Amino acid sequence: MTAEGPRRPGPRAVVYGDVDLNIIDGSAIWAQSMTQALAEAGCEVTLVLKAPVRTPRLVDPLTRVPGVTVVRPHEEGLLPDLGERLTPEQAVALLARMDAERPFDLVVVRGSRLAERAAAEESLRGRLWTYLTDVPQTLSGLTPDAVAGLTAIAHASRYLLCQTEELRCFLEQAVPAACGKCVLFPPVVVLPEGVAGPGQADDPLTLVYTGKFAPAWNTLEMTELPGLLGDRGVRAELHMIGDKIHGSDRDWAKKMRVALESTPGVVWHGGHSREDALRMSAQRAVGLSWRAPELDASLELSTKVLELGALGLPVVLNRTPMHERLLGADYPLYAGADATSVADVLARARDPQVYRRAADACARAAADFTLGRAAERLRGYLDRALPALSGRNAALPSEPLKVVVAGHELKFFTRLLEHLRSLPGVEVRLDQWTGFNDHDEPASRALADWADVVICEWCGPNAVYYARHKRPGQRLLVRLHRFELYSEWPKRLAVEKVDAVICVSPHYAELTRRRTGWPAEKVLVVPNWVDTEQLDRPKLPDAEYALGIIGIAPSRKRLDRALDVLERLRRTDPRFMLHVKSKLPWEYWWIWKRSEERAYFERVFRRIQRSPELSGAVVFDPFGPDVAVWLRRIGFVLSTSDDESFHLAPAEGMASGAVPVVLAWPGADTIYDDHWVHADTDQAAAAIADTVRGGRFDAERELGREQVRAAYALEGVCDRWTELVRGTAPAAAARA
Amino acid sequence: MSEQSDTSAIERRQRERMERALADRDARIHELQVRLAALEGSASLAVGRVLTEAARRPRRLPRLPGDLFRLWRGKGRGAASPPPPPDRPGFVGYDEDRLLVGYPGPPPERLVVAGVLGPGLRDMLDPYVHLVPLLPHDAGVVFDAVEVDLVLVTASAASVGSPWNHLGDPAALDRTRALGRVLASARGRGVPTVLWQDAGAPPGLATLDFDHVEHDDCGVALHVFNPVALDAGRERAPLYAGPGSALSAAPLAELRERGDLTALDPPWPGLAALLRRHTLALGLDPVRTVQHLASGSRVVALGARPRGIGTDGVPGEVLRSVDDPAKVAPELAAARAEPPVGADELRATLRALFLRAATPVRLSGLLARAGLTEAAEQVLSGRRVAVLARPADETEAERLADDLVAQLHQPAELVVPAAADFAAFDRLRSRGVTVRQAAEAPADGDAEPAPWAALAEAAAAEWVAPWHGGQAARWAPGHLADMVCAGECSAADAIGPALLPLDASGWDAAVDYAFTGAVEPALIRRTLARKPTPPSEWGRHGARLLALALERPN
Repeated sequence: MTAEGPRRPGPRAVVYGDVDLNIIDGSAIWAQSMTQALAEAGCEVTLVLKAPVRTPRLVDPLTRVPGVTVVRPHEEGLLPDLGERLTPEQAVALLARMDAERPFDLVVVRGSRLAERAAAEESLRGRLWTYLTDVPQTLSGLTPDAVAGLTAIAHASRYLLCQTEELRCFLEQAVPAACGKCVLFPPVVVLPEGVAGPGQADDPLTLVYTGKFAPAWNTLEMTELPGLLGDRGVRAELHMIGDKIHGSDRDWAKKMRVALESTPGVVWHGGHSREDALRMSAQRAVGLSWRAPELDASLELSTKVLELGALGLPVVLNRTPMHERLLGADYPLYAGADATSVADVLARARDPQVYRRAADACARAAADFTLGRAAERLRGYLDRALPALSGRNAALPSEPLKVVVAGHELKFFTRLLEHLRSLPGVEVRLDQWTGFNDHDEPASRALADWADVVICEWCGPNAVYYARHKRPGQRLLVRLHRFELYSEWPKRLAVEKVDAVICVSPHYAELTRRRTGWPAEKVLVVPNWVDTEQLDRPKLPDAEYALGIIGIAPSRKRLDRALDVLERLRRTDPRFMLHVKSKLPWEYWWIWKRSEERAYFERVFRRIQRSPELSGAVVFDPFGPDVAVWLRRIGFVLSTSDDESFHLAPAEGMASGAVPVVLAWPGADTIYDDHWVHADTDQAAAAIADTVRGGRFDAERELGREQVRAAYALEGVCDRWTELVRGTAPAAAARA
Repeated sequence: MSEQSDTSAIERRQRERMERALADRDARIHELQVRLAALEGSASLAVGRVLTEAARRPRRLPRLPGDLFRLWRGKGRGAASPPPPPDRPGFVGYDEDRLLVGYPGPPPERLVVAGVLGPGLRDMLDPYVHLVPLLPHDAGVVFDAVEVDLVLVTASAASVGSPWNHLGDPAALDRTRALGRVLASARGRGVPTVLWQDAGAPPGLATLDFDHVEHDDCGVALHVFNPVALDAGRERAPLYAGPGSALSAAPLAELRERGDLTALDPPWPGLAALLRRHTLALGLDPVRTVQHLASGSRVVALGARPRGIGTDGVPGEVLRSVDDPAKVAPELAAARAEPPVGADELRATLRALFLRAATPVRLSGLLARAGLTEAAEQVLSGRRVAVLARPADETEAERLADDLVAQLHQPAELVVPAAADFAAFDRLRSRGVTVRQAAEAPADGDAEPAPWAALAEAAAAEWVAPWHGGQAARWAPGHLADMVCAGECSAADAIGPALLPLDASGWDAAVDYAFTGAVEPALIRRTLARKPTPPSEWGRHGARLLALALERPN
């Protein structure tokens, strides 16, 4: 019991990986570390095992963790006709049954077959936290079936847990339904206690490799290293730990075995447990994780690299963008494509300074992959998915508050809707209008009769309808964007029936008050939300030369001004490019039917084709929900419109770490700091050039990121809406 | 214009737009009808219908095999035939309609390349191929509309300043996908596809299916990077031109911090001008190293030596290669103590680059390895030389043959008067030199252009080189290489020793690689050589003349 009331219990989580914990490999370690991390993040965790326990090494430690329950279906006879291991179908049936008896807040699953089955289980929908592995990692693997399967999983999941940023980006672009749901869950490095590497190169220089022996893992080529180093006057020993020789090519397998058994300087230790392999690795000086170039495109991170780094060993590995992000572009032990390059690099590794630099880089990288970091990440995800349990919201009401959200286009309301649905004591129903003025009248009527609170997204016919059918004691909230203000609908709205009109900016709130004459206290400002967590991702290299604009239609978005800025910049530095993420104007029939719109765009596109500065410098990227991925390539987000009610794009850009560049449309300075608002295109271009040339790009982006988090972060905006819905906001008391 | 005529003009435009929209809609409807007819007639749909019907009525199941058999027997019969297309003059509806496009295309001898290229590649390849650049958003539309011989993608297309920036990165799947579609379309049309790995690129690029992957840099484009008309007062401070991140580690970082190195990272258009301004450079990658060498700089190169540049090509004092960063500073100091690259050193350096590391050589090699043999030869056609000679007798013919056989850059042709038919020419024929005999011309001495003009008329090569005979006029083995290289650097019309003194500009007395008013022509564009104008008048008539002294054989 606390001063505020009964202590709120932690979230209830169930974890099931389609993995046998008796085989201690990476996937088994995942199941153990996920359970531990969830427990450390404050969850009551139930781990369901796939197979009877024969090797208790991973399970036993979990039984001693407070809040963790291990369920053994085989030993406890929980299902009839169990084979050696649970099938995915059996596992899902068991999870659903356990959930029905006592609901879980989250269901964590791993394994694509299992995830597909779980996604099809209606009762688990919306609560799956799906850890994705064995997904296609190349374009050719993205068959329609594969995409359909992943789409179904995405729809059913609250989160898709991705091991790396690369995997997350790939997935979001391949499976639009995954956008907004992908979060990072990197590997967790778990080491035996008291094990650490030597801290310096030795003589002979001892190298270590652990894992499978396979052609693309360069294990045959590695056996040449002692000889190649010997040619350079360096004594060396290569220690190989593992016993699985792969490869459908029998000749290769034979060569590999012979090399392991009889190459001078190569010591083959055979297969060992994971823990013993780590202890043996710690006795050597340098780790090897060198692969054939065809594996460079992998979207997964080798846990071995992290483990060796955590032991204090430097690791020789391929130079890839992923490794450069992890270890730095100047990491000294990147190897080329052949064994000679590896030998060259190893010879340099004997230099104590080089060794220290490399070992420190690996250790620093590994430090981000601890159990503590994993738990911290999970706390953030839990907070967001289960705001009720985060303690941020008020005490539970005695009975459900019935809320209807009505409108034709809800894309700006999706996350708010999700948030409302997650609130305890709130039941949400949707009145999805089929058109601006088209709806199922009987259904709307029934919802009007049912609801305690009605939220009309857009101040249009929907707001007029619900005002007309408002019942006593009900509250009506209307969100007005921009175009409605210049239509007939606000005039037809019985505003005395409306409890609050919500505008997204102070400027538009003031405009609304002036144009409509509505009571000032009824017109509130709740800004648009920005999902700062989802958008906060590392920039791609050279993003400072990429300008971005989101949405170029209709013509008032003023693409021509963006071209002016670009042209000016390119006169002195042709590296600047403009990236456009938008539907094209001819894809909007209501825009393209207007001759003045067509004339404008024809001029603009002709200008792009014919201008020497612009030709080849403007790229039209596909429209889609993968904005977070797209923003990784953008350094400056432009807002060049004639006018806007809020213009989310610069704010989203700021959350992504881009610098906003806003031309002074009316009210821009009430939404964005003056620092980002420029009088004209010349000033905007000058500001961009100065930022880049002056080396202030990183400082400016950090400033923008802080500002948007403080003003428009999703959590803060959701809290405001919670207050409005619950009637606890100052100006939202119920009116009859 | 009156209001009434304004209105009728508006109405006429509206009517035209509506007619176009209607015609577009008719075409779409027709397309849908064709697709529907194809679907209706498709075996898949028919089989599906039979199976669905059987599932709905289980009592029909025993009849299923028979139904399917009849379907198989009746395949192709009774399929709905597509309606005739609407009458739309000018409508193009087939992929192959691009072959009908009448707008003038590139010259027939130029390879047409659909390109996804890095910054600067367009400039580098421009003299050699006809480029159709593709952008991520127009790649499909453009590729389907043009006839091309080759799709060429360079890994450097993924770098900053390129519209394909981040190609192959998982965060830019849209770009990789756009390229993948072009490659698939090329495959369908039998157009070869080549990935030129001229730079480090995201590994995702290599997962795409190319017919040929070339692991090599693009060499140096001598028409971009060259020592033509270098200023006398160039900067002596060593230059590093490239990304600053390459200098982040000691001891190179210390060099920059101490001010011993000027570090700049200019975009492509300014790069050549920058390199020309410095007499000494630090090269951290082979491509930049050869660009510095071509720009007349001494270079200290750390890491891999440029491919094709052996120790017998570029003089050791011009290119100093080290493999240890700690040795960079002392080597730069030693190089800085030297004067700027001298005439002989420059000639030898350019010759090595021309023969083994120039862009057309790399490109030709790539095309040959990709199976485009004719194109590989065509790319080098701008280097073809026809030697013009009038040997008096067999002895002189032997001297001529000796000179030509010894050339590092083999001539393509020898043009001699019809009467000059000597056995010595067999040696040249056996080496693939085409020997042409032209109509006799009056022997009025070398001062008259007419004899050369007549011989030049009979030549087919881009360049002609007069061989004057006589012991004093023997050619050094590098003669043709040096001259053609100078032509490639300068786009001059004629190259040879300057006839007029130049203003003092700080170079040697014989100022090489500078434009001048008159030359003693050693290499001439065939189009100029054919004219009756004497060489002394060429400058006055607007020809571009480049001075380059002759190197005498030892």
